[in-house]
Amino acid sequence: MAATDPDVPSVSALPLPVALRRVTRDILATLEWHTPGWLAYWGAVGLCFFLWSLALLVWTYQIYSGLHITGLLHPVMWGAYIATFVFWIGIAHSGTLISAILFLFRARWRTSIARAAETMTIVAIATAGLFPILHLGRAWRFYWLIPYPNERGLWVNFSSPLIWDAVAVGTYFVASVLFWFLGLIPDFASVRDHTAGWRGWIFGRLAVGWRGSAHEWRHFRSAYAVLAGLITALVISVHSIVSWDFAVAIVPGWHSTIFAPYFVAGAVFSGLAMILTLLVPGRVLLGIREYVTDDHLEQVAKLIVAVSLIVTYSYASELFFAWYRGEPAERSQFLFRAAGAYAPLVWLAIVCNSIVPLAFLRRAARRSPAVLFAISIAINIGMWTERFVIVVASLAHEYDSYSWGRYWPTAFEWTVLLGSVGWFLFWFLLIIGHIPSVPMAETKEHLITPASAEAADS
Amino acid sequence: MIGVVALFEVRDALLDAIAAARAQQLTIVTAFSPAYDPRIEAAVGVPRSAVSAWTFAGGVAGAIGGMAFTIWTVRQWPILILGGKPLVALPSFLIVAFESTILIAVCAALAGFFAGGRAMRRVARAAYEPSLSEERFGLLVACVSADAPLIGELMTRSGATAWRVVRS
Amino acid sequence: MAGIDSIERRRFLKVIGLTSSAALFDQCSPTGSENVIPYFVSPDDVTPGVGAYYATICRQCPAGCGMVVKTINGRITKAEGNPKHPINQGRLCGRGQAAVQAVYNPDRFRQPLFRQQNGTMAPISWPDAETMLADKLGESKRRGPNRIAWIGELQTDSLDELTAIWLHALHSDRRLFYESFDYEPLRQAGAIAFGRAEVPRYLFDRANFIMSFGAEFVETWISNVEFTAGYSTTRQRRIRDASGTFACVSPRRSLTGLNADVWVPARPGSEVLVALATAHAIVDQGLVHPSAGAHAGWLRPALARFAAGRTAALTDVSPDSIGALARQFTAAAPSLAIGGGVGGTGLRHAASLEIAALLLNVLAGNVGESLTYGAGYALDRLATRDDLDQLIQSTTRGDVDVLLVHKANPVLTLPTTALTSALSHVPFVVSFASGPDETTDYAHLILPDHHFLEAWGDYTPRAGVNGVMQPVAERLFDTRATGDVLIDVANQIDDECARACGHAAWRDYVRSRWLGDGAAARGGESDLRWSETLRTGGRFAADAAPAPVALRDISSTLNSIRPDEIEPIDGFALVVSPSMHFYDGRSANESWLQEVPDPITSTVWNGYVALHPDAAGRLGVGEGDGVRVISPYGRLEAAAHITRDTRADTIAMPLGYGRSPSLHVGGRRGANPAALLPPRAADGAHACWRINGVRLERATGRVLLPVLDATMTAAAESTRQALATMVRPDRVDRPEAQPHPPVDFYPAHSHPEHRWGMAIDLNACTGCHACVVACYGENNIAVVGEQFCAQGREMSWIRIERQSHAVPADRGLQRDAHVFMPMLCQQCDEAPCESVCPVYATYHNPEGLNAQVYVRCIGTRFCSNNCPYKVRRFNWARYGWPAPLGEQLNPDVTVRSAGVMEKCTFCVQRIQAGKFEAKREGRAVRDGDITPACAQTCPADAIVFGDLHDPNSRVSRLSGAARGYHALEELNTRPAITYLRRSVPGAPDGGD
Repeated sequence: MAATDPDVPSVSALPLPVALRRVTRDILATLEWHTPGWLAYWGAVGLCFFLWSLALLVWTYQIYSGLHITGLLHPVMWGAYIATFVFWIGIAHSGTLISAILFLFRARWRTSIARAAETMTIVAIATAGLFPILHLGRAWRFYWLIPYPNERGLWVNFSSPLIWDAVAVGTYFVASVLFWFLGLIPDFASVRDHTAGWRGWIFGRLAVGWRGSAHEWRHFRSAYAVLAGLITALVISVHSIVSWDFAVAIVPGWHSTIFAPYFVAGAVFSGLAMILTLLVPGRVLLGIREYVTDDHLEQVAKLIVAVSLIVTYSYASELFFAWYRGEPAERSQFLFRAAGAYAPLVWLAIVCNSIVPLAFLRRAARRSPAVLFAISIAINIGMWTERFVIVVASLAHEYDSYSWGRYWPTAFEWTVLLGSVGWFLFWFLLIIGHIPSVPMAETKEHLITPASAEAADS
Repeated sequence: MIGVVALFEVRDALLDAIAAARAQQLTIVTAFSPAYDPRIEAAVGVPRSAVSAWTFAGGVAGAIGGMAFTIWTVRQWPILILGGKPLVALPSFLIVAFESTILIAVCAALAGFFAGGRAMRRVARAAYEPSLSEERFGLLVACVSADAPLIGELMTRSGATAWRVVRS
Repeated sequence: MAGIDSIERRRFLKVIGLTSSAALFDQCSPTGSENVIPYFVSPDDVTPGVGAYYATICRQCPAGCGMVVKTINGRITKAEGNPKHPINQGRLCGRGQAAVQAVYNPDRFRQPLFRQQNGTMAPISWPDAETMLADKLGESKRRGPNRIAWIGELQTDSLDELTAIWLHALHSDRRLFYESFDYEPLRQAGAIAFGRAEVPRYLFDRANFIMSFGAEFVETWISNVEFTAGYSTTRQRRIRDASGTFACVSPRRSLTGLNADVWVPARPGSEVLVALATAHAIVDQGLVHPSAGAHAGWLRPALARFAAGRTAALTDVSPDSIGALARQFTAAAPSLAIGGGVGGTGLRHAASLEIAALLLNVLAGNVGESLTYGAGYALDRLATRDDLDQLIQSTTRGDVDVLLVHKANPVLTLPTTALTSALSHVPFVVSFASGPDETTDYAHLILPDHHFLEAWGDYTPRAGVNGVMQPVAERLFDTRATGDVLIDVANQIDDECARACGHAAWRDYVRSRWLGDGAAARGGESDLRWSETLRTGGRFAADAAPAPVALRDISSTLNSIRPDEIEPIDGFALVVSPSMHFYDGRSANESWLQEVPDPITSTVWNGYVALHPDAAGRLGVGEGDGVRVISPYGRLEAAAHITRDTRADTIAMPLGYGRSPSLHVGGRRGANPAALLPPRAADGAHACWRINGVRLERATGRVLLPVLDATMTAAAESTRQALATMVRPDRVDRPEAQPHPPVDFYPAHSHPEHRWGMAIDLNACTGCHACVVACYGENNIAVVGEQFCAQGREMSWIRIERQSHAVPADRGLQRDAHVFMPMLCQQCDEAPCESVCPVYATYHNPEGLNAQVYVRCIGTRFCSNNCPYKVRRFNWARYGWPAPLGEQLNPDVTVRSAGVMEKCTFCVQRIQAGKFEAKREGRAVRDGDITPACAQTCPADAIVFGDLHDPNSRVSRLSGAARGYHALEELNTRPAITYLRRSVPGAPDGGD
């Protein structure tokens, strides 16, 4: 129970029974509405609701009047909507990285932030999933993308990357929700046992009869590990598939085999940044600073700088391939990005994604909440810009120069974009505020068996 | 069945009690803990979980089902030639089959988890109390009613703070 | 193709019994917006859902092409050329295609109108209107002779005769046929050179080398469809000739000029010197054709002053270039020299230029070969500016009481306040226009005539080509044939008029004049003859023998041309050019023509001032910036368009803009350059379309000038892909080596019955855009308007890409090649668009078509992203057709809803109809049975459609040609369209 273990919260300094009780009490306290920040909390939820209601209004108008209210045009048929879709899918990824991949790697520091990260994943997928529907010409027919038996006897085209997308994102959503739910079951039981009234009742149903017997733990652990493994495979496939939306097309600037790893790295990168964006203020708002410590944030920052280097490598390889392939259209596209109409965005993305994160090489930067927050915002902007450039600049500058074009999002699109942030935060806040925001059982597991003891065991 | 459930403040006391009960050749039904602990699991001697088997079966079903489904759907309309590809364009279908493999496997794993824990949850219910999900550890030992006080005493000696008889 | 009265009820019942069951399958109209046809008793000539075709004459311009108009359910849906008509032989230009839209133009007058005391127009009934006119006419007849004047569209035959008789009976001979382009310099030149004041006939197909001094013969000049076909024939015949086919001497390249193999950017106004220098070079080098040997005696001294060495400083054309031109021109005899056209008609020397061109033709022995006299053009009857001036003067003096304006719009293009003030002086102006224009603003009484597609009539553009016009649909509004009005009114005025004009209805008047019997003769043989005439579209005699002509001694004329009289440029020279789409501006109210890009600049919906980048840089003007153009005669503001198609000291403005605000489509767009021009040339009785001494200023603000071709505005970053390629003439028959054989991951798939394909000959295509307009008409393509066009949301299924290739200059002659490439869906065998669609909205059909199923589309737009040719169009909004324009919609083609993708279908409705027709006749589909709208109308015959499975089909043979290639072949999409390289002299070896 050494207080020097940075991976477990500060309660580990207390005697074990006291520490265990404190964990339960502390986390359960975050569920009560009289937490210090409740006004701020509900204010934020309300603001987010307003934002996405506004977006809904815009979208209704878009359905009514057609897609001409966007800035889309003939060569650039995809714009901010699709870029934002990719962005949110990317955000989802680091949630999975933290909860599943780091679990498999036995990185104990993941515990404190895993719940938030997983919740972020689910909500981000739910946000991302809206965009392919939002951008449809005839959105009211979106269900035609789902393979269901119908009187036409016509199924979906499984050769289309968009169907791969639908299948992958759907699977990802279902698997993530199940994984998230499985991890919550012991915590639900805790809430059931220590909360009276309607919340106890609801959580009792959600705990599906969990009693914490050694047998149950055995199945739990087995299922959790299996799911973590499956989801790790899934998460890599999902963003690879999203990248194939572009990579299998013949558009210069899209058609590239590096896209899958490139997108996965970018996704993890942006997701980690989003975790920081959420947790730096969120841990204060929810009163869980003791559990999400500066040590945890520093670990995230370390990962960020590592992934940033991978992303930078991807940029460099694009340059290499543009030259090495020898295709005029590809070279033209590369030069267009570097110096054309979208060049300021390209350079903005490079600065935000490749240069700014290098600040995390310094320990002081990694441990300052303000710096962490600022850089995470820069990365979020940089990654959205990168997606925007990939989608838009490639389409704007294809083979036939007669049809080159310039796309800029309209105010309507910006509203929808902002609305998606509102939608994301709305659900994130609503959910994280009403479930144990730190995995209690797993925290206790580390208290009972500290890293030193675990090492001794093995 | 009659059993004795004992509560412990610390995990090591529970482990001691398990060892003591084993020495007495008592039937250990299960132990309770607020968190997963491999030592308790080992001491109680919980059998292997079938979740992996469920997952494997789900995965195989998902792979075969995904591939079969995609092939079956395209064969409904044999004139729908796209982009010069044959109807059954396996590389694309592999992607769909992969996703369905994962999807079905995940669902099967969860089903395996529920199915596996089901029997024990019913037994554990009677022995359970809320503090077991907070900080306490528990041990449920099967017995005949006459032995209960003896077992209780054994538990107390091993460090139990309380014990009681449960019937289910 | 029967006329209205050729089928009687009994016959109709027989026909419908045979065809109605077929109609069920043939013409299943997929569109949801059609109404049920509420006929209790069906009219005799309408079979619901089945197209009926009527032959008539196109009157969009004076060329007089034959037309066949398709009507379905009594509505006009599509115009095509009449294959039997000698002028256009089944082809039409874009303006002709748009005639069907003009019928349904919402701006048309719906009933007669008269001007009230307060100056506004009010409806009036036909009897009242005619009585009003009769009163006025009777009154002025009584006041004396020649107090009634007529300005009308060019007429021949029936209406010519009737108006002459009618005016004669009203004691007037003031009748002018007005056209903006009067060819007066050409007529004058003919008079001076050959004693024949007439427009000669140009036989482009017989010429081996064409030298033009600015004539827009592909666009508007005399008879553009006929000339395009002739030019294309020559081009194809001369494809292997290293000297090329066509040299253009002009300060600015019009569309015609862009087709030239050689551009000689002579100083504006100096073309006459270039022509004479060439003539001098021919004489000097002893290249004179034997037939012209007799003239050498007086020619040599007369031409001495124009030796290339002496004129080079004035023309900017080097003696080397002149020598080369002279040799090419004479070596390829018969060649053809053509004068100024509209762009070459300056303040001075327009007639001299024509004379010089005629002289060149004489020297090369072309007269009687590629250029003949005695053609009897209707154009010879056009009023000159002298005639107009006389009328204006007498009007201003108050000598005219009633001015009748029949479908002419002099106010639009006559750049003078004299005319408008004269019009204001006339006590009673009557207009027969069918819609509002600049001249109807001055009318006191408007008696709207039918649109020409609703009217009886006839037109003979040149001797022996007698075309007849019949109504192809019921009149749409309460309009009345002018012939009927004249006859009615004559009967109301007095006996003299009544006797002269008779009592027949106009339709019977035309008929009896054609048949040469009494108006009352009906039935039997006479009916048969009449319906045969209507079916043919007229009477077409074999070409008459050309009149023998001999060049007169024109040394005095030549002596009067003083090189030092060439006008100084003094600022900029302004070339006002006729528009391919709007002619002189008359067609500007047809939305298709506004939406289809200008062939030269790819601009839409607005006019422009084309200026050279150097000039733009000097003025600090960017693309789309407003500029003020100031000439000695007027000033205006317009949008700048920067181009290398003009000399740095020359600017160009197209006609067709700045039209009356009462036109809802064409009005309020840009400025009318006619306002900058003098009323007439300084040295002749003709219009002047080019002036020097124009100043240009940067105006504040920008003007919305949508440019559809991104390359036009992004020249700096252009790394143009070689979509259109060219070939050196000596390599035409040598197939290009494949870089590597195509490789496929998957096995090839088969097309059991047909594989539809297309061959597009870039060597023939002139970029006239007729195919684009035809596609709008056939396929119900939405017109999206200027804002959407500026945002890149035009819906056109086929576009013409102008691809410019730098070719090294040769002896001072610029050889930059401009290739016009029709880009439409390539119907790829391995289409990238298909596999990305999640819902099978697009797929490869068994006949090789890339089918698009609109109802299945949900609008992911991935297909468009993945189309390397960028030929898919998305419905960004719900588009409407302002009533009654919607009546034109082709019921065989679905109207697409918002949110779905659409694209070229190879006119699948025509393929289905052709297949069904063959099936009904129990035979296989023959080559030529099926023709998509674009191929059908192409005046240059550049587009050939057919079955690639049939090895003997034209398309199969062309696709296998050595010149054939596929666009973006390296992407392995296997298009069904084969392009044939353009032969460009001086092109680098191996294509691009």
